[in-house]
Parts: sequence; structure tokens; C-alpha cells
Amino acid sequence: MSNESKDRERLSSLVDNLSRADDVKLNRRAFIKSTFGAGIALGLATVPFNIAAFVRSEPRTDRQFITTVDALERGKSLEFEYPGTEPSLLVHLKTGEFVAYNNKCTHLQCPVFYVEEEDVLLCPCHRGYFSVDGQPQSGPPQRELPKILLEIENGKIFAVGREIHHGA
Amino acid sequence: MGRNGWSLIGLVVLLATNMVLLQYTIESYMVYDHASMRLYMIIAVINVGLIGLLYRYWKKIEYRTKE
Repeated sequence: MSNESKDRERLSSLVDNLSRADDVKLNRRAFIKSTFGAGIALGLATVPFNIAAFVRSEPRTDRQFITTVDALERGKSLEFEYPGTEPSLLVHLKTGEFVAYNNKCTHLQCPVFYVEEEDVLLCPCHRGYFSVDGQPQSGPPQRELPKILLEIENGKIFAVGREIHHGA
Repeated sequence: MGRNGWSLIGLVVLLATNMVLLQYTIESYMVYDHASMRLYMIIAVINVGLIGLLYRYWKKIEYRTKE
């Protein structure tokens, strides 16, 4: 037997046991069944997160000194940690007002930066924009940034709590 | 379109909804938004039930014997 005919025989033996019509039929059904399975798995995957949330404790929101009013110029921002070790951003707006938010983008947790020129908060990962009141403006983020409640006393700025939902 | 086609469209819609709900659940978990998480989980579990019902319906159509 020549080498060529041997090769042909070897190749045909690879597909001899398959009926193409059956293959397509079986794969289609298998694919649809897998899709049903994936739908169920994705739905049930929300449960462990809820269990984990139920078990874990939230970081304490005690009163915490951040900085003094004079130390932060208008149009500048300052990073700090609150509550606990969560990264947050204090912004001194051009209007003179102070605002603070957790500076983790609500899309994929990238840090958020204050852009003075545009007076917005920007997540550079996927160009998610938030207005200075913490509301999402454009890009992938769909929910507002958690707001850090501030108190100003004798020229000192304190973080006193956090609001997950704070409206427009 | 036949019943088989409609059931598959339903499956795709439910699958996509669950995908988005999982994404939202993770986002809420990260920011301690427990109330929203619970809501998303309830909707996702209802969807799982619907997918189960849809699977039974699809199987009945898919494996029916032709008269």
C-alpha cells in the first residue's frame, strides 16, 4: 500500500464513525441545553453574594477627621480612607462647597478622579463620567457614587457617615 | 415562527436578564447596597424558575413524535 493511500485511510477512519446529520442535530440540542444550564447558573450565582453580604459586617462609619478647609484649594481634590480602609475622594468645588464620595467607580471599582476643567468626576478605565453630585452622566456606570457625609467644624472637615442612595 | 423558535427567544431573553442581574448584584455587593442585591437575587431566582418551566416546554416540543 502506498503512503498516499495509507494517509487517506487514516483520515477516513477519523470521520467514519460520525454521521454528519446526527452530529448537527445532537450539537444543536446540546447547545440549547447548555444555554438553559448557563441561564440557571447565572441566576443562582446571585445567591452566594447575598449570603456573603449577610455574613460580612459593614465598615464602621465613625466620625473621622479628613483635613482643614484651608488645606484644600478650590478645584482640588484629596484622597482619604473612609469608612475603614475604603478609598474616598474629597472635592473642593469651584463654588466653594465640599463634597466627598467613595472613589470606586460603581461599574468595575476603578478609582475615580476629579477633573477640574470639566467639573466632573471621571473613571478613566471605561470613561465613566459622574457629575459632582455623584450621579452617573455617561459611560458604563449606572449607579451613583456612595456619598460621604461631611461636617465642617472650626475649619476642620470631618467624615461622619455614608449614604449609598442619595438621590439627584 | 414556530413554538420552538419562540421558546428559544424566551431563553435568550432570560439568559441575558440573568447576566445583567449578576453584574448588578456584584456591583451592589461592592458598595454595600444590600437592599438592591436582595431585589436582584429575587428577580434572578424567579427567572431561574421561568427557565426551568421553559426547558420543560421546549423539551416537550423538541422531542415530540410526529403524527
